[in-house]
Amino acid sequence: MGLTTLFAEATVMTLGLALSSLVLGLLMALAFSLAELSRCKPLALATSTVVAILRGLPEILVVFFIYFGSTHALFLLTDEFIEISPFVAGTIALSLIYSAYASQTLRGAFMAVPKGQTEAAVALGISRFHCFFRIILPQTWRHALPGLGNQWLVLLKDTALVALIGVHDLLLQARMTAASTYEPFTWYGIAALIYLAITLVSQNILERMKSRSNRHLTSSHSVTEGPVEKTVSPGEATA
Amino acid sequence: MGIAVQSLSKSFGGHQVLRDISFSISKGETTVLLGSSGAGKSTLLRMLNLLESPDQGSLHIADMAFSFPQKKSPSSNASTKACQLRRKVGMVFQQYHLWPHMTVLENLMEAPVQQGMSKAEARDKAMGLLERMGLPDKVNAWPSSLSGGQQQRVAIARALMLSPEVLLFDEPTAALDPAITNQVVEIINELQASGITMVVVTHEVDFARKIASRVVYLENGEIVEQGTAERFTAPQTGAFKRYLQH
Ligand SMILES: Nc1ncnc2c1ncn2[C@@H]1O[C@H](COP(=O)(O)OP(=O)(O)OP(=O)(O)O)[C@@H](O)[C@H]1O
Ligand SMILES: [Mg+2]
Repeated sequence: MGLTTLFAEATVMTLGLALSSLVLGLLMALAFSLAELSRCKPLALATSTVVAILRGLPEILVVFFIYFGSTHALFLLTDEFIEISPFVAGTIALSLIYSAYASQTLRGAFMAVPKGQTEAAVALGISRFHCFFRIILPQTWRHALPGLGNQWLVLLKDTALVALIGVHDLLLQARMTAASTYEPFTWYGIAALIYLAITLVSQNILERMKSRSNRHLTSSHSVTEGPVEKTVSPGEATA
Repeated sequence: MGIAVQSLSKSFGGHQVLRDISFSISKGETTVLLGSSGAGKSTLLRMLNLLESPDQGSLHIADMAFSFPQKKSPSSNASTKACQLRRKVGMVFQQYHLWPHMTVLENLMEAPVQQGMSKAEARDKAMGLLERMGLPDKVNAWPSSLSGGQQQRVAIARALMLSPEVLLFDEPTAALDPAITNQVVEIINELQASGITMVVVTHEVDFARKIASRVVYLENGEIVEQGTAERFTAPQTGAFKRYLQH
């Protein structure tokens, strides 16, 4: 197989890993942030603890822990040696790491949506469920987008960590080619360029999403006068 | 029957905010709730559509009856009933609380469409109301591009989308330029002519005089004086008299 094909496949692997971790991570971050804001104190405390641990550990340790630890845990539980694939372990580990940071961004963003927004919906007889998805979440999204975007760029590069548990990603491909051809500079350089290209495309898409999420704030009235609008953007602090 | 309130009380963490409140308002009347800051006006208004739940007492409004403390029957039942109440009792907040990520039209259509009105019908109704509020050209504007007075009229239109029997206003003029106050007076008088029962909390005696058919005066969580609009010229208690003279 040509090196181009190999590198293309490795790029697809890196992107697949990053995107599936993003989706899973966002769902977990949403669950974590809601749990931390919940009125049930034990749940909030337990979630904060998990998040603190995840943020306190070196990321590579989380990856190792999920990959080797889960096999071991499954062995203890079922007495059988079930191996989970490096890709699955990598996705779980990366989404856990992502969600630990993203949940803090989301929590801040939820708190930045004024209480009156919910009240106006409740006063019109709109159900809580509907209010959450139609009124609260879209406004949270605007506050959280810059922070979540930063964390996505970090996640993209963290995918390189899972080369260490044998996921055939861009970094692993570069290392193997570098070793076999004795041209490390070239092949690591090519890997670097591919990472950079993905980052640039991501940034471009993020910018467009941000201006779309801010499209209702185009007039000069918005910042100074609108009593309905807070212009805090707490999301950026946590990346 | 409009609104009847019997012996309502409410405390926030040991601090009694409303004490033994009773009054009744017949259909189609405009009642003004007056009182100095902290008297409990907003809390009382919010109870009328159960945004606050009273500790004790009973509430009859828009042909529905509630008594407190509510029996620990299936709680979902109580919240469904509260939801039904709120579709008949609209509220316009002091800060309007328009949803900034939706256009004016979307703000108006959200609640009725969720509650089963067809989109076409909701759109027609919204257009009609915006016309009535003098904002036909703002249909597709974002709330943040509107002035305070325009935002308020959108908030009123949004509440009217559900054709409420009762409309509650918390300090409708407080955030507005004094010059716009007369617009609000006109709108409220027009709504009164159309038969809606209204309860309006305000600080401004002049504004109150222009709209009220009844007045309720609160001090420290208790009703000190209530009666028809004639009380403005002939107050019966020293306290209300002093309040009117500020
Ligand atoms: N959610 C709450 N928690 C605790 N205390 C509250 C709450 N809401 C109101 N209060 C207290 O209840 C009292 C009455 O408040 P309320 O807002 O009803 O007064 P008000 O008459 O509307 O005053 P203002 O004219 O300043 O708006 C105040 O002392 C206030 O601090
Ligand atoms: Mg008030």
